[in-house]
Amino acid sequence: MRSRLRLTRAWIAALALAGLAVAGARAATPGELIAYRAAAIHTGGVPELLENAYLVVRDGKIVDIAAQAPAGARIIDLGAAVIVPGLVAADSSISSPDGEIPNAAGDLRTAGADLRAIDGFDFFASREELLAAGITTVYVAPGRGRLIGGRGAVVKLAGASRDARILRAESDLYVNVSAEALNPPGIFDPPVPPTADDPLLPEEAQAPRSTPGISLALRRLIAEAQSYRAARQKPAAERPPYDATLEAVLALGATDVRLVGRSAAEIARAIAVQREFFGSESGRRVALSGAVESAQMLERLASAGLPVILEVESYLGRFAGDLQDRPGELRHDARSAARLDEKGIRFALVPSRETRLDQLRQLAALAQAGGLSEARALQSITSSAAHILGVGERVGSLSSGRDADFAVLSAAPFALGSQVLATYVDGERAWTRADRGPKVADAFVLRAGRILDGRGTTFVDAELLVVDGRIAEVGARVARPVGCRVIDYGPNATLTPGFIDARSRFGFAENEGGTFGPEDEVVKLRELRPPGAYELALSGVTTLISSPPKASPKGTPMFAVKPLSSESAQDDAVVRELVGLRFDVKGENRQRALESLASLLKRGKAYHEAWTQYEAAYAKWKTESAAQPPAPAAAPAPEKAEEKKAAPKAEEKKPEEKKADEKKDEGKKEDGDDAKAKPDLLSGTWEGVAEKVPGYGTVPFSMTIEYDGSEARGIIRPQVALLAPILFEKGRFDGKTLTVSFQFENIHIDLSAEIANEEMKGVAKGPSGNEALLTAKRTERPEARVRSVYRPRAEVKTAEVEEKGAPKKPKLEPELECFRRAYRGELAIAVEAERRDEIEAVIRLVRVEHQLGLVLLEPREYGFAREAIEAHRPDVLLHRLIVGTADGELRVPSAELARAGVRIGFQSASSTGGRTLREVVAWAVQHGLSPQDALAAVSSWPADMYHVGDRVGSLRRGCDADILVFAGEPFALGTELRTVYLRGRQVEKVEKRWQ
Amino acid sequence: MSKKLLTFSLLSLVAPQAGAFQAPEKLAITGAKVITVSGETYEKANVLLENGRIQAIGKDLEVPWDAKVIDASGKVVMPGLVLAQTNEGLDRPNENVPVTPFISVLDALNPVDAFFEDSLREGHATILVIPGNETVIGGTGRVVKPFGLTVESMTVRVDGGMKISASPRRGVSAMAHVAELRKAFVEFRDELEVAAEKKLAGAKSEKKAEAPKAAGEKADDKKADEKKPADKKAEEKAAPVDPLKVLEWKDLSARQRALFEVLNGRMPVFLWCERAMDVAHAIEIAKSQGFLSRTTLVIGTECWKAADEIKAAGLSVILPSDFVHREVDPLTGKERETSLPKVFASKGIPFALNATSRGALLERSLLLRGASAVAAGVEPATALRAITLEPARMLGLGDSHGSLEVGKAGTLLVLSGDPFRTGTWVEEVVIDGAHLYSRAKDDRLQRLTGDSKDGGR
Repeated sequence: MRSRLRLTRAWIAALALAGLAVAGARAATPGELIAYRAAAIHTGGVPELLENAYLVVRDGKIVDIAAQAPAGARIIDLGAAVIVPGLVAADSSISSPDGEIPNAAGDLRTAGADLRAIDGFDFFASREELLAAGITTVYVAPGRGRLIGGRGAVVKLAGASRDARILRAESDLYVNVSAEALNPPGIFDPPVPPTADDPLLPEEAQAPRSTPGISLALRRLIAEAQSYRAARQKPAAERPPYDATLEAVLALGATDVRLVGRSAAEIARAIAVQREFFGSESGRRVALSGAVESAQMLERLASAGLPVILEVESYLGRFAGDLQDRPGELRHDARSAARLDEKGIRFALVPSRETRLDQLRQLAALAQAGGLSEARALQSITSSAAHILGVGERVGSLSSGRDADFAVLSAAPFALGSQVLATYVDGERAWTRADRGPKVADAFVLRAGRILDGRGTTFVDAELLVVDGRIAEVGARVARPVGCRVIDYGPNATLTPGFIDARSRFGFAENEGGTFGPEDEVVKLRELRPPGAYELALSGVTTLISSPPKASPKGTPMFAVKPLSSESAQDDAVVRELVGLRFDVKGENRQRALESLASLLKRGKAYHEAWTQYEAAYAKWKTESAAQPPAPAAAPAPEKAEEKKAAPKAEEKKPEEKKADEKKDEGKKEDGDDAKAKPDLLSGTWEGVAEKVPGYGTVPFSMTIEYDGSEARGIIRPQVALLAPILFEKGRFDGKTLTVSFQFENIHIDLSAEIANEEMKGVAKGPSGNEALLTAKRTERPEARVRSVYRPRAEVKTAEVEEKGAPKKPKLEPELECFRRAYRGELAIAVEAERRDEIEAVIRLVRVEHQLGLVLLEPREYGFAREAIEAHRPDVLLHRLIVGTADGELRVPSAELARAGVRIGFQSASSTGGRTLREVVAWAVQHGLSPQDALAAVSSWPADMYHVGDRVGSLRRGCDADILVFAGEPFALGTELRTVYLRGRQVEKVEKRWQ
Repeated sequence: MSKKLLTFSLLSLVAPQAGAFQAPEKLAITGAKVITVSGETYEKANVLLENGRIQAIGKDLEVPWDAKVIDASGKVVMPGLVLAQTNEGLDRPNENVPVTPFISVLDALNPVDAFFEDSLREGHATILVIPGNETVIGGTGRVVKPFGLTVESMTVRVDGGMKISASPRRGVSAMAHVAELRKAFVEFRDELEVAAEKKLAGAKSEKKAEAPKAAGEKADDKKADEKKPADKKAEEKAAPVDPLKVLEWKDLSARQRALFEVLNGRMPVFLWCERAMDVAHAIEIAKSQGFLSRTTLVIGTECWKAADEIKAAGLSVILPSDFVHREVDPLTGKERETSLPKVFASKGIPFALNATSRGALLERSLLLRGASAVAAGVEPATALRAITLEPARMLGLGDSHGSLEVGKAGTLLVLSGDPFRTGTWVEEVVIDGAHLYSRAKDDRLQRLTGDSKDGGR
């Protein structure tokens, strides 16, 4: 049964594992009692599994595993995570790289019994790769290529000191009876040049070179050792010199032995060797390692009573080579482990030579495909392995008194996508994915009982994956990228897309002064977080179609924005600039307004067609001219002339800009002319040129400054295409000199300018000492308000050199530019029309005549215009038209229109009024609006109306991760909105923000 | 006398100042700031040397009328620097055979090697020349001064120390190397046991003065044979033979003597550890063979990681000349630099800095090494000890070298300024009371720097 955890718990876990939570980050102090709470604890012993239990640890040892935390213990809640014993790798060659024969000039005998793997183990090397796989204990093999390779060791991969990490310094004698040992080194590797002390000796072939030679060599070695022992008893003069190898062979009686054999024949040999030489009397442990073909030798293995360290091969992440079917090729059998288990043979799983050690846990999972039980599979890489290595009383299982070596997994050990989150050795955290894992995308998975994608699809008992703030996948079971968190909201929870307030004036004051035309664009919201933004986001409104309150006859721009931007990137608050144009045809001026709209659309259409024709002609000319040989290079002089030609283009903008400036300050300018002599020498608009600007030469510019007596701020607008306006702040002015710093193309510039007689002369210095000279005159004295929110929209064109013979470009008209987009179907025309005649006229004009996307804003007499609406299907936004009665009849416009197949949406028409959007819609649902349509009306429909459906409004791959988590039915009145995700980040509750 | 010196200095173009020098009976260095290292620092003080030793240090000391005077007014006097270990000045650092405790640098040391001339110029007045690191047991070193035409005349201490390596040689695994090292000692102890038993047996037979047994007395022989091992076993159990107590130097062959001195407690040991993992092996060998208290670790840069183990074993260390450990984090790719003097100073582990003429410019002079250590955050006093008194102690010369104290060797430097300031030169070097180097007369240096009056021709 899947564990269902409460939201808070999941988050605490995520935080704790990210190393953020204070409790999780602090290291244990001596004597401190720490209780790790996990959704499940696999002990590796008995009882196998405890759910929702505490692993109690003190001073690196396990005190208890209990259902309740003991009093006074510090509790670390691991949430949905699962604890397993630290994995034990019963074989490895991490001591000598590649498992080569340790090469010693002195002794190259086939028996290197005096070699100790522990001597080759680097305790200071990084073992992160293995710790990251949850492995805490490793058997370190000595060299493999000899009959007796030496003595192995059992070590921990982390720990306070070398001594604390050594579990067994000399755990067993490594006796290799496999084919690997059949190629022993020559007896002597002569030094170059030979010396009198070490003369050159002929190489002598050593046994074993063949399989029978193995027993022969062992027998010979033991005989040699025995005669050596006898000879060592002789008086000093006759005594043979000390021989470390033979001494080690003599000590065999007391050591554990590991016999290595892989094929069936080798296993048989190993059993024979064990019978002859290494009887299990005197408590000696003998284990068989390798045992690839053990499935063929089950009976003999069972009767021999040898535990098995089974090599398993895996092809996880790599392809196998061609099948050779050579005689002697090892036959790996996926069922080996299960069959050993059936026979009651104790076994551990280890990777084969070609398999990576860090795939240990996956090997155990593969063995389950061969029929092994899950519990046994885990034991084969934990407790069974530890017992075979003789360290079962210290590690490999979780019970009172054992070492606190454990791994924290994101899910059950063999579950799909289960990952190691942290690894603990002796109660200390040795590795965490958050700190030391590879860099991964910021990903998380949300689980819920229902996921409504906003486009009519409902996923039951489903998951949603968010990667880097975008929705990556929705479905019954989604991917689990490495390092991703899984947050389970339980079976009752419902996920929906974030809501859209289809028209608001968010970010604009109610009595906003200026009128904005379609050529204006949002540069950045002046206020990072306008008042009420948090509340708005918390209410579930994640996208707003915002437009300034005052209507412009040229069309008021509408922008798609989000209530909150991230602190670092303010631009991410903008979904898309200019998604619609708003017009007003209601009221007394309706006739004029309609006519004006008609003529505007007509001009726009003509403009659009002119450009379409030009583009087609240009493309045609381009292909034709490309086929012709290139014209000879133009002389430098004409080029210059062309550059000059380009200059007027910049000037083209200038009047626009001036107009804009004039517009902004219309009122002020009038009384500005007869202004008294103000002490303010700085504020206003300055126009002039900057000379010697590196990379640009002479640049005309206009500069708007606002000076409040202590600080000057403003904008510098270079009159050159490509150069963006420069905002500056914190300028200092002492009555004569203005000093200010700003960023220009990411370069820090210090400007210092003398102001006298309405003239400015200054020097701008770059970091490399480059200087540009500025001269300017004040053209507007009145204190200009700094409009940093908007700047004139002008299609940023590259200063391209005009091509000869190319078709002539239509004249650029910034205020009509938007209509090109409208006719391309990228922009909605939103019209406020109330009366039936208004509605019908607008539908006729926009929908029928010009075939543009039309959004009707609050069409009060929709009922009378029903015929036109149903015939031409404009989109409709509702504000007050929620539930009402007309002629004694209950009217729910949203339901009526939706049933008629009209896309509807809801508009707050205020700044943050959208925070009650859900309640407004819930009221309509109470009165008959289908919940499915209601959801579409606040998500995918408005998104599609404004052509931002690819970014917001649905839970589809690629959309922003704006997700609402409801405790139940989204529009049921009693349903709690539990969490809001905005671009994949949880919007914090207000009270939390102030903590 | 001065004429004589002059002619020798002219000869120095061919060889470093010739060995046949004589120390003046009395030498006075006057008017200098005297840094004694072990005690206080005097301003404008005089140092009097007599018969090669320091007679007195202090202000307003009367300069004897018959003393030769070095006027060091405005200059700084400090003890001669001690180079804790080097394998330069040798024919080659190591033999091909790994276990060679019996060889000595005596036979490989080249007195006219440019290394010694350079050392004198740098103020390295006491140097341990010892076999290199490519070895298991490398042989014995010798403490020398960088002056003289024969090894004997250069020698300060004959049994400079035994070089042992806990790090694998090239092409050998750590496992095999450690096994070999362990085996070398066990085998040697076995040899000693055999020798001891032989000696004891010889002594017994002399005492008893018994006639050798007749060939025919088989029964007796058998009995004796049966008895003998039993007796021996009994003896061993009752009072196990300690070959180190039984044997004397003369009982052993030339091959065995040096290692015997190591086990016997007379020879210091310099144990090379390249990597941190080697430190544990070094300590294990030193402990099990009983020479831990006389051991100094010669370490590679990674060994700072084993600083706690070194501290627990009570060992002191000789740092590599380039004492910065660099490591790249495999995850972040960031390079981490660790300055070893800082680590060891903060842990309170005694350490010596080291220099090499094979390294970069900054690595050639102990003074510059000290300055670098100060730049890395070590207290100047600690850095000063790390090039004088600490290495002197490691070489067993703590009572005679490494600081300016009355009765200690008259080995000192006159510097142009404070030791760790840039621009400070070694002006004069006095070793055992003999004024052996003067920068003003250093022809080679002048040719290099263009200071000489003949325009550096």
